[in-house]
Formats: sequence, C-alpha cells, structure tokens
Amino acid sequence: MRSSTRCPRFQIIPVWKRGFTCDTTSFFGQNKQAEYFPRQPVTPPDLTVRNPILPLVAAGESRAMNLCIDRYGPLVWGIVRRYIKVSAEAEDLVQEVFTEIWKKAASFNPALASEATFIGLITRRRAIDFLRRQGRQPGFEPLAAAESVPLPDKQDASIVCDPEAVKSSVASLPADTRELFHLFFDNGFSHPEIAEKTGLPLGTVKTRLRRGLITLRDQLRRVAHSNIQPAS
Amino acid sequence: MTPSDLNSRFDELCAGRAMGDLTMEEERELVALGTQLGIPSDSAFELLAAALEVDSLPDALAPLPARLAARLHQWADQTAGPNSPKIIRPEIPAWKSIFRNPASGWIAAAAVLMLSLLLAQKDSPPPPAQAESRLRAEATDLIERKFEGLGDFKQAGGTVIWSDSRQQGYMTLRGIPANDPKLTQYQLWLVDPTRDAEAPVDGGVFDIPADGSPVVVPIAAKLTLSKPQAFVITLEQPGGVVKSKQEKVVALAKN
Repeated sequence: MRSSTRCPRFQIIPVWKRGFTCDTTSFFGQNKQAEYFPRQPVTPPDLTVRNPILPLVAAGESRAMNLCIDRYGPLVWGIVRRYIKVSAEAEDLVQEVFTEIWKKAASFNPALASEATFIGLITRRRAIDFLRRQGRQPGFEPLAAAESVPLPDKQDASIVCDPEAVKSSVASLPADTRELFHLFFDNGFSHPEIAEKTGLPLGTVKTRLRRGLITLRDQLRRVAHSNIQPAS
Repeated sequence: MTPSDLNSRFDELCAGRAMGDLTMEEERELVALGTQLGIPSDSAFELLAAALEVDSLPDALAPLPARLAARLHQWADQTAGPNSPKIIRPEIPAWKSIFRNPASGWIAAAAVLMLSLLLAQKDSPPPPAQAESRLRAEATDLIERKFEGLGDFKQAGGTVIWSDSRQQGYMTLRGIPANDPKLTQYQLWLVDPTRDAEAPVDGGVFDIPADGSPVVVPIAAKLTLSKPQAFVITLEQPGGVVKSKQEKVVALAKN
C-alpha cells in the first residue's frame, strides 16, 4: 500500500520569479533583489518546541490555526506523501487532516503523547483510511471511517507515548523485528517490498510487524503501570 | 478458540489496522471480534505507530507547497478563526453523547448556535479605522511605511502599519480609483525575506468605494510574517490570484 520511496523534496513553484521577480526593478529599483530576497533555505519546523498550539486552537485563539499550519504543515505533508503519490489527492487530504485537527484539538492530551504524535496519528489514520477506501470492493465497508473513530484518551490508550520509552522498547526488540521496523517506518517500504528485500514470505513480514507492535505496546503498558503510584 | 486466543487475535488485528495492512476479510473479522468481545480497539497501537512514523521523518522536512499553504491559511482565516459565528466547534465528548442520543444532539446544537450568535453580536470586531487606531496605540513593535502610486496610479497614496507580535496590520489608502468588484479587485502582497525567498505573501483582496474618502483596509496575511519589508498593491481579477503577473501595479510601500 505504501510507496517505496520517501516523500520527495517538493519544488515550490517560483511564483516570485515568474511574476514579480521579472520586474522587481519596478518595485525595488536596480540590484535590490538580493537585499529583499536572500536565498536562504526554508527553516524546517522545530518539532521539539514544546509551546503547545493545540490548546490555543481549541480555545479559538486568533491565528492559532495559522500557526498550527505553519508548524505542522511539513509534518502532515511528509506523512501524507509517503502514502499518497498523486499530488492533488494528497493536497485534498492535507486539507481534511487540518480540518480534523481543528475539530478535535480539544481532545489532545499532553500527558499521553506529544502534539506531533497526536497530529501524526490523525494524519496516518486519514491516509490509511483513504487508501482503504480506494481499494475497497463495492458495497464493502465494515470499519468506521477515520473521522468517526474517537481519538485516544487516558482511559482507552493503555500506554503513555514517551519518546525515550518508545526508543528504549524498540531497542529491546529482536534484531530481525527491529530490521523490519526500520524498513517499514524509516525507509517507507511496503510489505511486499520488505518481503522481496528480506526474502521472507509476505505473511511472515506482516505477522512480525504486527507482533512487534504488540510487544512494544505490552512493554510500554508495563512502564505506564509501574509509574502509577499506589494510593496511600 | 479460547478467550485468550480471541484476545490475542483481536490485538493482532488492531495492530494490523494501525499498520494499515488489514485485508478486507480481516476488517470483517476485526468488526465481528470487537462486537463479540465487547471491547473497543486499543488505540495504543495507533499512538505507537504514529510516534514511530513521526520519529522516522527526516529532520529537514519539505515545506507545504505554496499553493496548498495559501489555501489552508485562507481556510483558517475564514473558518477556523475566532470570528466564525456560523461554525459550531464540536467537542469530542459532545459528539460521543450525540451518537448515543441524536435528539439531545440537535437540542445541544440549537443551543450552541443561539449562544454563538449572541456572542457574535456582542464581540463583533470594531470598524477598521477604530481597530487601526487601537493597534497604533497598543503595539510596541509597529512598523509604518508610506505608499507611493505607480504608473497609471500616480495619485495613489497612504500608509501601512504592521505589528509582528500581533500579526496585524492596516492600510489607510487614498487616491485609488474605485473598482467594480465584479470586474476587478485590489490585492495586497507582502514581502517577508526571512520567510520564503520565492513568493510574496498574499495579504488579501479588497475594494475601494466610489466616495473618494480615505479607506482603512485590514491586512489579511495568509502566512505568519516577520518584519515585512515591502507592501505591494496590484489590481487583479475578482477574488484575487495566487500569483500575480503584476500587469497593473497600483502602489508600493517599502523601506
């Protein structure tokens, strides 16, 4: 289902070159272009910044959603492009993702996961749901659509997604499972591609990935339970 | 199958859903098992998969395509801003109760709509001239530039003010000919060299009335700006354009 390549570097259409830049002298005089348009790279969003935006979005603060788009747009775009190759479809899906983020910002729980993970969850869910709908046989729709599935809260998510704990749990997985996780998440390979690369049967790849995720869940569940202080 | 086997299989299917690899038969099986066991899908798998996916992304992510970013910001300004009285913001717990009892949902929606209309009346934004004066009085990082008319619009003039901290700004314009919004509209562009070297930021479209008096126009920047160094007004098709051919440049304000 997934593409075999990472999200491609997206080339921004040089609007300014094709529009304004051709005649910048009419705006800024000769040799002013360098002054006004230093060719510096776009700074990637700092996902480690922990000034939460989602509570502001939930409170309806002015321009909070704009800041959310600025900060998390590249993240959402990066995930969506891993799953969906057609640009127009990917762009429509990004719009849907941000609409859902806006609607469900109030359900973000910082004690459960980071904002980036919360937004990543919404994005993945939407992208997988899109692919599921694309491949669905007529008249077959057993699972609820992504937007109607509640987001995790403290009660139904049995773990706390602390990044260090996740990394530590992944490190404790068997080497062959870790390798499959690396191929799936880091390299973005699909199950058939992983089967081809590793020589494992497709069913084995699928089962090991699923069981690896279950093992991680169990380990993090134990961590979460061990952190609960007994009532005195 | 023992209850333990059923639970294990349910976990495996939930994990499969989080990995996006369920077959249609497995989707059927997941729904049936969930009903049989009477337990919801464990969202821990989705959280974990999302955390792993986010962590696997490269440090330097590609930005949103400019056209998509503009579209999203326009949507955010029109729909997701604080002054969107026609929009009822759904809260998740409210949705859960609506699914349980549709009638209570309609009652709640009607109540929220009435409340939002009342709030909209009470908190309607001040007129642009008043808001411009307030920004001048309150902002501590205000920048101000003078517009100069260009080409056929030599008589155009006015000022523009902008505050980075508030992401707010206003133009006070005079001498610009009235436009027929069905035929053309004026559009503002802002040049923010620290943000994107390739494209000016759309500052919104606006109209000039025929009475000839000075007009105060709020800036509706589609992106967050930092120390914009030039403000350009062009005349475009109704609704504005994503990229201007600058066929009719009306006025320019710059450092």
